[in-house]
Parts: sequence; C-alpha cells; structure tokens
Amino acid sequence: MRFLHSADLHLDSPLRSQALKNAELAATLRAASRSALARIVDTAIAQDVDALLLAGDVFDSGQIDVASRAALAAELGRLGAAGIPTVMIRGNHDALLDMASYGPIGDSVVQLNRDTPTFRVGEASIHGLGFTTRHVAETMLPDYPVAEPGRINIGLMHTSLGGAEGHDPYAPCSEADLLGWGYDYWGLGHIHKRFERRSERSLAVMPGIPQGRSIRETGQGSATLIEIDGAGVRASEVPIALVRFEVQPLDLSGAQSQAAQIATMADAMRTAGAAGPVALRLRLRGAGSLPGTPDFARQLAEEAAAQTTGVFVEAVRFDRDRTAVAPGVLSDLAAMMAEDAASAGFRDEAGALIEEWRRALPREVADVLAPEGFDALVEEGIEMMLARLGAGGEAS
Amino acid sequence: MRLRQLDLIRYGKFHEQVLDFGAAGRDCDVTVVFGENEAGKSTAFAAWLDLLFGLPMQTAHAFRFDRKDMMVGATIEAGGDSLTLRRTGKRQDSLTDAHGRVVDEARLSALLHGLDRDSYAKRFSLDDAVLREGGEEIARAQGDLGRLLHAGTSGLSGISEAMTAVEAEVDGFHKKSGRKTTLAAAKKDLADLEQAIQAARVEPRHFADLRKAQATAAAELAAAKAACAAAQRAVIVREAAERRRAIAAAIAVEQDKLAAAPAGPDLPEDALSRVVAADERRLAAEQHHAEAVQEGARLEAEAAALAPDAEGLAVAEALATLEIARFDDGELLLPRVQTAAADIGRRRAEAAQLLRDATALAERIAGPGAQDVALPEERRMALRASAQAVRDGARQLADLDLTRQETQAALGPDLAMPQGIDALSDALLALQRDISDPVALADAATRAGVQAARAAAGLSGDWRALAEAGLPEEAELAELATRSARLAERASDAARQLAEAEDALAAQEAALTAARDFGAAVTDGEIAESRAARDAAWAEHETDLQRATAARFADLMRGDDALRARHAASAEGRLRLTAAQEQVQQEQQRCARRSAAVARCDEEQAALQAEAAALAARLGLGAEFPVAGFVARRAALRTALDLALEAEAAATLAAQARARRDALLGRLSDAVQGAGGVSTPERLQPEAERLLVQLETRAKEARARQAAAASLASLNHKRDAAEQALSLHRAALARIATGWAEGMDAEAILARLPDLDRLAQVEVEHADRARRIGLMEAALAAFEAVMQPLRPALGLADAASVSETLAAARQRAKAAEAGAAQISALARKLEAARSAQGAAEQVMRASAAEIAQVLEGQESAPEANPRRHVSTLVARDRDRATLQRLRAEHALAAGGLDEAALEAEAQQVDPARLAGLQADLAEAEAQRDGVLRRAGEADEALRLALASTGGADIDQRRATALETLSEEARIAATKLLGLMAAQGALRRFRQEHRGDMLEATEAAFARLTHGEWPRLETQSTGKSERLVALRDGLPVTADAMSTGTRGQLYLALRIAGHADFVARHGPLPFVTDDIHETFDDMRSRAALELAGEMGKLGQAILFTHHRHLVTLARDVLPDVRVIELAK
Repeated sequence: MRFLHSADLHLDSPLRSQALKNAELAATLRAASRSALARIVDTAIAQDVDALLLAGDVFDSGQIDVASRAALAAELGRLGAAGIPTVMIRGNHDALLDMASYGPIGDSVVQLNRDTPTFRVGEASIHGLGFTTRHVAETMLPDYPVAEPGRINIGLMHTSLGGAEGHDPYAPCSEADLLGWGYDYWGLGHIHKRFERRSERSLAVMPGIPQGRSIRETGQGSATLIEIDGAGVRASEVPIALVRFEVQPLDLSGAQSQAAQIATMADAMRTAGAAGPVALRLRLRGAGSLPGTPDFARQLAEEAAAQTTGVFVEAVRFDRDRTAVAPGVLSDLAAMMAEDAASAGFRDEAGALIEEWRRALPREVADVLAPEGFDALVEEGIEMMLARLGAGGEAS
Repeated sequence: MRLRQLDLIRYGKFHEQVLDFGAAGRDCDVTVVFGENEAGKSTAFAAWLDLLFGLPMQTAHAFRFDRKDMMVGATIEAGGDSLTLRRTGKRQDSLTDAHGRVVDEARLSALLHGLDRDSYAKRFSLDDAVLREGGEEIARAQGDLGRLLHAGTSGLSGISEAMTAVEAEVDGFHKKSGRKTTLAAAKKDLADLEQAIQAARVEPRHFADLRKAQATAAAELAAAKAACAAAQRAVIVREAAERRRAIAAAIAVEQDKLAAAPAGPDLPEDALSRVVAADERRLAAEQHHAEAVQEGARLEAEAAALAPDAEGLAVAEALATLEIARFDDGELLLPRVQTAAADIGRRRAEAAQLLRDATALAERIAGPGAQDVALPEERRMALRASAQAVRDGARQLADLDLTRQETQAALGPDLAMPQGIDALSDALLALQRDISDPVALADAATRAGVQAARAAAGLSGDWRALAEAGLPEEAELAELATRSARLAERASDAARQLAEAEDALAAQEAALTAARDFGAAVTDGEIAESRAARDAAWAEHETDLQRATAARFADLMRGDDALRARHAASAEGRLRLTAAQEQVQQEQQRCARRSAAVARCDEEQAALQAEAAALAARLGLGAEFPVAGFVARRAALRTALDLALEAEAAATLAAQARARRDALLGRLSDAVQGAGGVSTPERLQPEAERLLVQLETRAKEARARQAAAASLASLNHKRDAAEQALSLHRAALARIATGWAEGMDAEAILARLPDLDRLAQVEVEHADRARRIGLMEAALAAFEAVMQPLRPALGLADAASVSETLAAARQRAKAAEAGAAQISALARKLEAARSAQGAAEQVMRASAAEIAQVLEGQESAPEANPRRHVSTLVARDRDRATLQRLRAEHALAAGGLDEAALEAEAQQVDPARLAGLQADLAEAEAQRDGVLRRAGEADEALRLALASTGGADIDQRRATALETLSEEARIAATKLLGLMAAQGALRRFRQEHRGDMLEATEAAFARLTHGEWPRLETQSTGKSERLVALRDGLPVTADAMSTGTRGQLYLALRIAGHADFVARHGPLPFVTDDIHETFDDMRSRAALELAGEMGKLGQAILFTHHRHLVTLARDVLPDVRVIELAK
C-alpha cells in the first residue's frame, strides 16, 4: 500500500523573508502554502496513494480566517474526486478544524479524535488523536489504540517527541516508547525539520514543513511517500517546496574589484540554484570594505542574482574577518573598540539603548535585538565601523 | 627581523653577488653600503624590496637575465631563528627556500607584521623620491603615519566624517519622538496593513451570518419551486386535453379514406423501389442482348483473316532463355556478354602490367631475382607490432633513466612525522567553532528573568496556567468588544425610540379624548340603528294599524329626523374623532414594535454578557470586567508568557554554553599535552595555536620527504620493468623474423614493411584480374552456343557481332509476339460477347419474377404497367400508417397524466381556461425567480468570501515589511553599537597618543637642524590637516622650507615612526638609498648619529655613493660596518 504523509502546512502563514521584495519571487510565492498543498495533492494523485495523511498544524494559529479553510476544502475535494481519502489529526494550531463551528471539510476527509480514533482503508488501520487544547503537556501515547493484529497499523501523532531546539514541548513522547508501540509506521508532525527514526519493525518519520517560511527553516521542503508491503516499510522524500531557504558561506578575499565580487557571488549562486529555486542568505568573508556598507553589499548580491535563474537574495551577512589588520591607527582603534565594547560601562549603556530600540519595534520582530544576540551585534558593529573608518581615512 | 645576508643571484647586473651584513649582537647595528655610480647600489636597494614583496611584472632590472630567470635571496634572522629565502620571477610560488621548496607568503607577511609593499617602503625603505613624496602625505595627515602624527591634535578628519555619517544613518532609522524615521514610517505602514487584513479576512462570525442567510434563502426557494411546479402541472393537463380533441377528429377523416381502397396485405417497405428497379433492369437487359449478338458476328469475321509466325516465335523463345540465364555467381548472362565483348582486351593488358609491378617490388625488398618474397597479412602485422614494441621499449627506458637521476639528486635527508597533531587540531577547531559567550549568556539570562518578572507584575497568581491553557484569539476579543459597543449603542437607541413612541401615544390619546368631547357628534352607526328602529315601528304599525303603534312610529320618525339633522351638523366632529382614533392606533403599534426591539436588545445583551463572562474567566478577570479591556489583558498575559519562556530558554542556553566551553578547554589541554606541548590555563589557546603551526610545518616537511622517496622507489621499479620488457620484445622480434629477415634489426624491418605491404596488394589485384577475364570468356562461349544456329533465320553472317545478333533477334521476336497477341485478344473478345448475351437473358427472367413476388396476395391482378399499380397500393398503405400514427399520438397525448384529471379537464370547455392557467404559472415563476435571485446572492456572497484569499496576501505583504524592518533594525543597531565603540576608542586613542609621535619627530628634527627648528605643531584647516615647524615663533609649512630642510623634516618623521613601530611590534630593517644628498656635513653627521640610535633599536642600512659619508660614518659610529660594491 502507498500513502503520502505530510504535516505542518501552516496554510496561509506568510513567508518571512526580505527576498519577497523581489517582484518575481513575490509573484512565484504568492499563496505559497496553498501552492504547496496543491503540489501535495497532485503528488498523491500521481502516485495513486491509498490515502493522504496529515499529522496536524494544517493551519496557523495567528488570526482565524475561514477562507483558508475553504482553500483546504477545495484541494482535498479534488483529491476526494480522484478516490483518495484524507486522514488528519488536529495540531496545536488547528482551531479551524473545529467541525462543530465550521462544518465538515468534505466527504473524503476523516478527522481522527478520541471518539473515532481509527480509520480503516484496505488492509491498513490508521490511528490518531488530535489536540483538543492549544497546549498538551502530557504524552498522548497511552491513549492510542493497540495495534490491530493481521493489519497494517499506522499512527498519526502531533508531538515534539523528546524535545527539539526551537520547539516548546508539545505532547512529549520518547522515541523508544513510540517505536515500541506495535505500529508499522508513525506519521508525525510538529517539528519543521525532517528526520526519520527506525527500529526493527517500526518506522517513524517527521516529514518537516513542506514549504519553509524563513531562513530558520532551511532545506528542501518535502512530503514523505510511504510504501508498505511484505518487505517492510519504506519512506522516500518527494520535493514539494516552491523555493527553499539556504545559508551560503562565501569567501570574497580573492575578488579584488566589485566586478570580481559580483562574478564570485554569481558563481556560487549558480551552484546553489542548480538544485531549484532558492532564497540565499550570503555569509561573506574577506569582503573588504563591504561590511561598512551593507546596503551596497546587498545591491551587489542582487546584481549577481540577476545574472542567475531562480536565485534570490534573502539577506547579506558578514562573518568576522579574523585576519590581522596591518599595524597602524586602524588596528589600534580596532583593539580599543574591542576593549571598550567588553567593558561593563559600554555593555550597560549600549544594552539599555538597544533595549529601548527593542521596545520600540513591533513585537513580532523585537527578537532581532534580543539580549542573547547583543554580542554578535557588537562584533558586527565594530567590523562595520572599521570598514567605514578605513574607507573614510583613505578618502580624506 | 634582521637582514643577515642579501644574495644577488641573478638580478640586474649582479650574478652570484653576496652582501653580508654580519651577525647581530653589536650595540649599534648600522651598515653603510658604498658604491660608485653604476656600481649597482640602487639595484641592490630595489632587490631587497623585490625579495620581500615579489618582482613586479615590469621591472627595470631584467636586462642581463630574463625576468623568469631572475633570482634574489636573503638570510633573515627573527626570534633566534634563521630563514633562508629565494625569490624568482615565476608567476606562482615565487618564494622558496634555498632548496627550491615553496615557502608560504604568509610566513614572510607575518615577519613584516602585515605591512604591504607601499607601507613598508614609505616607512622603512627610503630613497630620496619616496622620502619626499611620503613625507608630504604624512604632513597632510594621510596614510597611517599621517594619522598617527595628527591623532593628538586634530579631529582625525576622515574618521570624524565617517562617524558623523554613521550617526546620521542611525538617527534616520530611529530617534526618540522622531516622526519621520524609518521605524516610525514602517510602523505606520504596518498599522495600515493590519487594518486591511482585518477587512479582508473572513471572520468566523461573518462566516456564520453568511451561512445563515444562505440557509434561509434555500428554504424560501424550495417553497417557491413547489408552487411553481403545481401551476405547471395544471397547464400541462389542460394542454394535453386540448391536443387529444384535435387528434380524434383527424382519425375519423383517415378511416373514411381507407374504406374505398383495394384489399390486400401491406406491401413491403421497399415494394415501390423494387418494382421500379426490376422493370428498369428488364428494359436494359433487352437492349444488351441485341448488342451482344451483333458484336459476336463481327469478331468471328475478323479472326478468320489472321495467321501466327512460328519461326519468329522460336527466336523469341531462344532470346527469352538468354535474357534470364545467370552464371554461378548470380549475375545475368547477357549484360556480362555485352561487357565482355567490349572489355576483355583491356583487362588482359592490366593483368600483364600487375605481374611486372610485383616482380619489381620483390627485387627491391630482397634483391635482384628474388622469388616468393610476399608475406601473408597476419605475419606482416606480427612483424610490425614486434618491431614497434622494440622501438618504444628502448625510448621508455632512456626516459626513465633520466627522470630517476633527477629525482635522486633532489632527495634530502629523512624526517620523522610529529604526533598528536590531529587531536590538537580537532580540539582547537572545536573551541574556535564555539562562538557562544557563557558570561554574556548568563548576563542575558539574568536580564531576561528580570524582564519576565517585571512583565508578570500586576497579574494574578494563576496567570501562567491561564496563558498556557490557551488564550482566546485576539480577533475574537476585538470582535466581541466591537459587538458589545454596537449592541450598547443599539439598546440605547431602542430605549430612546420607545420613550419617544410612548410620549407620542400619550399625546394622541389626549387628542382622542378631546375629539370625543367635541359637540356630541352622531356616528354612522347611530344613524343606521335609528333608521332600523323607525322601519321596524312602521312595519309593526302596518300590521296592527293601532294608535299606539302609530304614535310609536311617529316618535321614532321624529327622533330619526332629529338624529339625521344632528348627523349632518356634526360632520367635522366625526372626522376629528376618526383621525384621532387612527393616530392612537398607529402610536400603539409603534410602541409595540419599539418595545419588542428593546426586548430583543435585552436578550442579546444577556447573551453577550454570558459570552464575555466566559472569556473573562479565561483571561483571569471578573465577570463584570469591561469587554473593552480584554484585548489589553490578553496582550499582557501573552507578553508575560513569552518573556517567561524566553527567560527559561536563556537560562538553559547559558548553562549549556558554560558546560560546553569547560569541556572544550579540557579537551584542548589534553591535546596540547598529548602533542608534547606545555601550556598554562591562562594562555592555553594561543599556545595551542602556536604549537599546532609548528607541528603542521614539521608534518608537511616530513610528508614531502616521504613522497619524494616513494617516487624514487617507484621510478627504480619502473626502470627494471622497462628493461626486462625490452629484452622480451627483442627476443619476440627475432622469432618472428626467422626465415625472412634473420639478423635484421627492428628499424631495418620497419623501413621495409611499406614495400612488403604494397607487394601483397599488387598480387591480390593480379589474381582479381585473372578471375574476371575467365568469367568474360565463359560468357561469350555460352552466348554463341545459343545464338549461332539462329543467325541464318535472322539473315546474319556467322561472324556477326554480339550487339548485331541481339538487335536482329529482338526485332524478329517482337514482331512475332505482337501477331500472336492480336489473335489471342480477338478470341477473348468473342468469348465475352457470348457471355454478355447469356447474362442479359438471365436478367430479363429474374426481373419478371421479382415483380410477381412483390404483388403477391393483392386484391386485383397487375396491370400492363406494374409501376402504376404498385403506386396505388403504396398510397393505400400510407393512409393505413397515418391512421395508426394518429391513434398512437392520441394515446401519447395523455403523457402519463392522471386519466381522471384529463377527463375532468376535457369537460371544461371554457376557451380562455388555458390562458388563465398560463398566467397563474407565469406569476408563480416570477415569484420563484425572485426567491432564486436572493438565494443566488446569498450563495454568491458565501462563495466569494470562501473563494477569496482572505487576508493571506496582505498578511504576506505585512510579513515581508516586518522582515525588511527587522533587517534594517539589525543593521541600524550594529551601526549604533559600532559608533558607540568607535567614539569611546577614539577618545582613548587621542589620550594615549597625544603628542607622542609629534614630540619624537620634533626632537629628531631639532637634532638634525642643530636646534634651528626647535618646535613642530599640527593644525587643522577645516577638512584637512597640516604640519608646521616654528622658527622664531613663526609657523612655516614644509612647502616653504628649503629642499634640504624639508628632506630633514621628512627623515625626522620616519625616525619617529620607526621608534613607534619598533616599540609596538619589534624591529624591521630600516634601509635608505642616498637620502643625504641635500644635507650639509653637519646635518649629515646628525643624521648618522640618529641612524646610530636606530641601530640600537634594530638594524639600519644606508646605501650611498659619497665616499665622505663613509668616512663621516666611521667617525660618528665607530662600530659601523662598511660594505663596498665593486663597479
């Protein structure tokens, strides 16, 4: 039997990237999460799967918009017309899956919960329990039905497992307990980075988010195609994302002119773009005076991106150039700036100023000036200032 | 760093020239290099710079040796070690050691403390031009020394401008109370976008309203459709009844027509066409029969006049045999005979020539009279391969011998591989990759904890449980607040309108009372009652005719008359009373409506309060808490939870970072010890890095030595193998050459092989010619065997050529075959005419039978014209079909309708009934269409709402704007922090450097000028700086000084810069080339004294072509070393 497994669609959740200032990319990624859903449905039909499995967080928790639900119903209706049912559970973001408030999504859509925890299709029994509140602090595994003898048993669970960086503990569950529950396959959801866990007779897959939404969600977004037969369970990735986010380190120390810098960036972009559309965060080293003019550096990067196809600039960052500055006023100033920045007085004064800025920012982006990033900001600030002072000194 | 020896190996005019600057250790390390003009003094000076920084692509010193062959070397001392270097003109890897091994440029760059060619030349390697050009730059505060010189007295103009620009950029992003900053503008844009999102989003309550409207419209539509269907059924029944009446009349007409038609069964469907076709076939067959009889007679007469040519046919048969005859190889005889007749002579001549060529080649290979020299191809190939292998093997052996000798010569002594390098490298890398700062993270965690506690202040004790259980959505709270405000407004309006209506009712009731009191008006009812009473009294009086009844009638008649008179007089009062009653009724109805509205508002408010109470409980608020404050409360709870989670995460991060750093330092310490190093905890990392560099250098050298040794061993092995292979090839060649070229070497055999190949080819071609001549002769013999007996019959002589014989035979055969063909064609035509005659007779009989079959069983016999008779019968059958169709239509017109209803409808004879029913239907349809439109509108409203992208598109724009703002904020913050650090550093720099460089320069300049110029100052001139010297209290710029004094000022700047550099970074050689040209003896002496002081700090080398300077130097500096360059 074949199934297509996905999770964490976060339908209509916006992408968070400056790269979308690019009109071409903005047009490509208009309603990106809906396009990703359409690709998932297309794949399910093309692969002629027995069911589509959605392991929670179909929606995003921001503001409730019933239009998002209608979009889901339209796509899953298309899948239902092809004779393929959709089996899903509620995640911590899925208030819109409340059937009592908004009605059923479609005849071919089955939502598993404590009243109906099992759905049978062919030789497979699919079990699942959804979130009933925004946050579930306890494991839900003991409440899952026991495996049905003689049938293929598949579980759907929305969980942070034993804990993951960047994810609060939701319905925690140990991997060993999960793989020992007796199911053939666990279709998981919640963590946005894909991984697989396997025991002797069970496979658990966290499929990851099918369309990354920011540079914090890098890699090729995908769904997972499951094949189960007498030989066991096999999982393979099916690319879904319209564009992926990647971080690209790049050494510009060999490029002596702006044209050479653009050419070096374009070469790297061509390599990165060969695997499909990508929004790149460039981390530049040996960039000369560019750290002093980050806007200009971004313009150069945009120029390089214009020479390639399917590559867009998410942001430009600078890694600290640790090669020693030649002796002189600038090197002395650099040393003094570093010493000054490490002093308690500087840290208190600058920390208070940055905190005032942080409070002035909209809440959603205030983290950019969070205290834990203070040292990195100081280091970048010194690098930028030295580049500017060096250029200024030469010009005077 | 010190220059021990400069090796001018191939550079300029020099070849293998050495300048030895001696060992270090003297108190005063000063060397004067003297050379007459053209001795190469400036060349040696340039060679030093080229050694350090590489040869320029265009060099003036490439006249004796090509640039690619130039080489300069040096022995450099640094840190107790000695380093021997070579610099060549190669484009890559131009820096090597004495053995030609590549040396990393970084090694030399580190000794120069990162100075590039220009910086080093301007500070430490001066000729007169560089001294003056660089000095002017320094005086104008340009370059590094310039900044140093002016740091204490000026604002570091370039730096200040850069910092001012950064400050403006920071303020442009955010400034307290700033309204036109980037941040303020972005926040305004975001607020606009948020409003747009609210408008575009399909909120749950709006969705519920749309669905309710859709359901109501659907119910109304179902009712309207039912009514419409009933009206439509009535029209259908009426139309069916009217159709059936018309069909019954047509049936009666058809029955009358069939009564006069002939009897008999129905004809087959194709009867008419069959009879017509059979009749036409009969007529055509009669005509064909007559034509066939006539054609047969004509053909018999024509055949009798023709006779066949038997002799010509015999020639044709023989010719046909020859045309298809083939040889054993499959080729046709005749083409070969014709070719043979034309070619056989020429082929015989070619065969003779090839035989002569073969003889000549054999004699060239093996000498005069040689026989059987040719070899088969396999043997020639073996001979060629074996000879070539011997040739290749010999060449390979020679090449290997040469390479082996070169490698052996380049191999150095054996080196051991150092241990522990991987563990040390891994430990260092792990530590370097750990970019976290445990102390800073701990501080951050503490700050985050304080912020979290501050945010939670003022909230109830169970706030965290409430927040984690899930807060209501912000939109839901905002929507509730909006709804609450609107409901309160509606309730207020309803209460006000009710009060107004009650006031109006009271006024109208008062008016009614007043109208009732107005002049005892008589109503129409009272008139009717009075008239009825009077009429009753009259009826009673007519019956009884008594006085009492008469009186009673008279009283009632008078009363009625009076009442009528009063009725006529009180018309106005009646009108006023009626109007007042109507007004009161209207006001009562209005009051009722408004009371109901107030009641509905009360119900809705009660429901909303219940909803608000539930949400207030989820927010930890009392049930009476104002709804308008819910959003703020939710935000406070959300912020407190976020900050609490951030604080917890920060504490975890800090602990993890500390543990990770301790583990990495421990691992590094172990790795240092494992690699044989020693370290202290305070300087563990730099000592480990230094140890790793040393280990890597040793490992690299050891690997290079191992690789060279392995390469030599491999070459030896290859050489032995090549020698053995060559012996085997030679033996194989001797075996193959046995019996043909014994004793002949490989080169001689290879020289003869082309002739041998040609000989084999000639012999093959000769054999081919002989075979072809044989075939031609056989073909000519076969031809003559057949054709010779036929020549008399053709009128030819026995010696007639092949082509003549063939042409005559083909002509005779063609004529004979044409005559035979004509006779045969006439016979076939005669047979055809007889067949056509028989066929026509058969068709005539079949046509008659067909007509009889079609008309079988009909009432009357066929007429002479069968077509007309069958037409009559066909018309009868058509009438019968029409009658049957009408009866079916009559039954069909019932259309499945109820028979009783149809019968009842048939009884209705009203001609306008159908029009009336159709009007009813049109009205029902109009009503249904109205409801359908409303239902469609409700469906469309819901569909449009759900088909929209909702707020997603605008939300995406908002997210992009937020990300842009985030990036701009980050960049602006880095600028802010960099600016703050730079401002602090600049203040310290000014304090620490104030005057040091200036004072050192001032002291040197005063000594060089013997006190004539005792003081220097720096001055700001707006955006630039300048250096002035004071003489007699007056400032003088360098431009205004004499050439000599200006040169001394610039030398003083370099001397001060040298002292500053040495104090900070250690010594570098200070080299000058004839910079004392414009100094008088007194100032030259002072310059030499200062050079002596520099020689105490480091190394000073002075090139000069002035002999008296050498004498002066020996006088001033007894320890000075002098090198003389021969011309």
